[in-house]
Amino acid sequence: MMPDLGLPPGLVMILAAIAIPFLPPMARHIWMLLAVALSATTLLASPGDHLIWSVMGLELSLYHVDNLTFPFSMIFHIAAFLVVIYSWHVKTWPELTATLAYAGAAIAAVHAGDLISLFIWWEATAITSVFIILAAGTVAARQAAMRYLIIQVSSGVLLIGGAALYYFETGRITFEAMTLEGMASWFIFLAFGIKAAFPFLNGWLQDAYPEATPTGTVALSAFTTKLAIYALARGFPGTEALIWIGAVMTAFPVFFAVIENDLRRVLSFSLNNQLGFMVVAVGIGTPLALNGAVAHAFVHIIYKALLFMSVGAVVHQTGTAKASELGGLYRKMPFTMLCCVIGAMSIAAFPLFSGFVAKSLTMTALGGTEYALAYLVLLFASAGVLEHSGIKIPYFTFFAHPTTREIGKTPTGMTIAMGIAAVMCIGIGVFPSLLYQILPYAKVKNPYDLSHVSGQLQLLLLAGMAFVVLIRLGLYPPEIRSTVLNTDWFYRRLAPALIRPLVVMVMSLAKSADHALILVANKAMAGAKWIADHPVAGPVIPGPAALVQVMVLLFIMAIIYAKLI
Amino acid sequence: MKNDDMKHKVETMALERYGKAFTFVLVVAILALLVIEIFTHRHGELEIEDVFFFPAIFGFCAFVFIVMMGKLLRQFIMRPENYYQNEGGDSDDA
Repeated sequence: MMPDLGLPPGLVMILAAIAIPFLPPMARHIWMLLAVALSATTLLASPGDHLIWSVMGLELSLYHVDNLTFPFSMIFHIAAFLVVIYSWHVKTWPELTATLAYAGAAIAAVHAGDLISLFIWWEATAITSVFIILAAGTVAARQAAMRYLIIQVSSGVLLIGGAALYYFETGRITFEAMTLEGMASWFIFLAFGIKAAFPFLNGWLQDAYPEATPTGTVALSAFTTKLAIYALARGFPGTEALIWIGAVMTAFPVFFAVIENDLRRVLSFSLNNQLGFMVVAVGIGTPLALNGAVAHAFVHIIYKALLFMSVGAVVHQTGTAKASELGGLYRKMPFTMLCCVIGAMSIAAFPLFSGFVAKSLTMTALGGTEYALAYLVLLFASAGVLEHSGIKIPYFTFFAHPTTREIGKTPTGMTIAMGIAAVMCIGIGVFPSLLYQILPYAKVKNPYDLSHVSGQLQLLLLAGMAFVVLIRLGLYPPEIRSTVLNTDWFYRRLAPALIRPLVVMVMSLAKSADHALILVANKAMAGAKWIADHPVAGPVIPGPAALVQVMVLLFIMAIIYAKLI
Repeated sequence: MKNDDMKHKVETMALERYGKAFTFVLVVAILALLVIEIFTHRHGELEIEDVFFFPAIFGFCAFVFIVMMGKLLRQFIMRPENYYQNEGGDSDDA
């Protein structure tokens, strides 16, 4: 039975978010959980288009359900649930409001059946997530949030531009599979590419995510990038370019992650690398590969959240995520350490952990194609995943150096959320059919055969041995307090240096124009005030009311004009 | 102060002990994989993966390569921690 709220999925969460500031702090999380649960009832909806709004002659499909929307909607609801539990100790409303609205917008975007609706929710995820970053309240977060906003809105502008061109070219706005022919599809492809953090479009991710609060980063890690993967899987399955783009994405962040000191930034590079696997799978485009992309996105959201949660718990307790300042916490935070190790083993794709059952699909699908080089790159990147997320994160956080740091009790909500995510990582790894039954395409066979398991263990254990050897020989790079340059350097340093003289000139012109504008506005206001103070003879119409009438008239004319075209 | 030093020493020794235990377990597991590799037929997605102990050799070499390249990369892209401070002209930059 399909519940009929008369609202698109996720919108109920956005509406509920608006009420959060007016609720007592103790009730906020329960309210949020209720909103997520209510929105989750839409998971029961049967395939089809359940809500069509006609706007200016265009039919917007706001509640589209099919085999591809279901797993993404489900994991987004699970992620929202985990984030609410994890942030139980947070009582301030701005972050909670933004988080619930952000999750709701991402869920609504998944159910957008047309490009215009997709654009609306696409932008909504951008705007809401900016407030999550801002909630950290630091100068660095504020600056990162502004850069993030510019990049995300650029993605939205490309999307709406592409959608308009697509409508012009095809006469429809349906969000459907496209090919990279013509400007429309390229615009849309680039819009998705920005949010999916394609190479050279990735700087925003490593720049902004680590600047949020520990709870905010968990929320951020779940939605935007996986929404982009969903969009690519729906819009560009089987696009060959994605195989090579994805292969580069899996490999290059690995090197940055080795030398990065901020562990939340390491996890952001790791996120980028994981997105690469999904992008490759979308590029292959076969049913098995697309299942691989969906399965990877599903399990990735859980284990990446778990890793961000465990490092976030450490940040909450110690105030830092810097490898150079951490270590030795295994005795002080044993449960967090255990959860971190489970997340690390999941992302590294150890058998019996969730990453293994998802990555096997993509690797099998890629192995059956002519892209042997891409396959080897992904195999190489798998060793890289072990390096940065499988070993570096738990090792430098909980081991590496002894510590005499005193640690308080981790908030209960954090502990419960980590526990649930850890159980899910193992549960899916041990019982892959739990995941496989919700995949959108062909039936998937069990990944546990001797060749897969022994091959994967060989790769991981010998890579692990390489780590031991390098550490013992003193060849592993030490943790150094530093900034590692990333692609955001181009717009944070290079571009300002190049265009500063131009900006100075434009700004002085803008300042003059600004002064002139203010002068005119002041005169207009004085005029309006004079009209208000001197009503005309006959029927008395005060000046401000006349201005309102003019505005209403303009509004009506605009509607008529819209109807005519 | 003396107490702290003692604690530090005990912790260091404990970490070393765990490190050795971890290495021992790792070596045993690798030896077990080697035995399995000798007595069973493992096949990969690519032909080259069927080569004896290929994933193991590939994994080891890839890891070393990544770390070494990372070290090399530090020469080019590592900057002081405050590299981006005072950007954007904000007076309250910290």
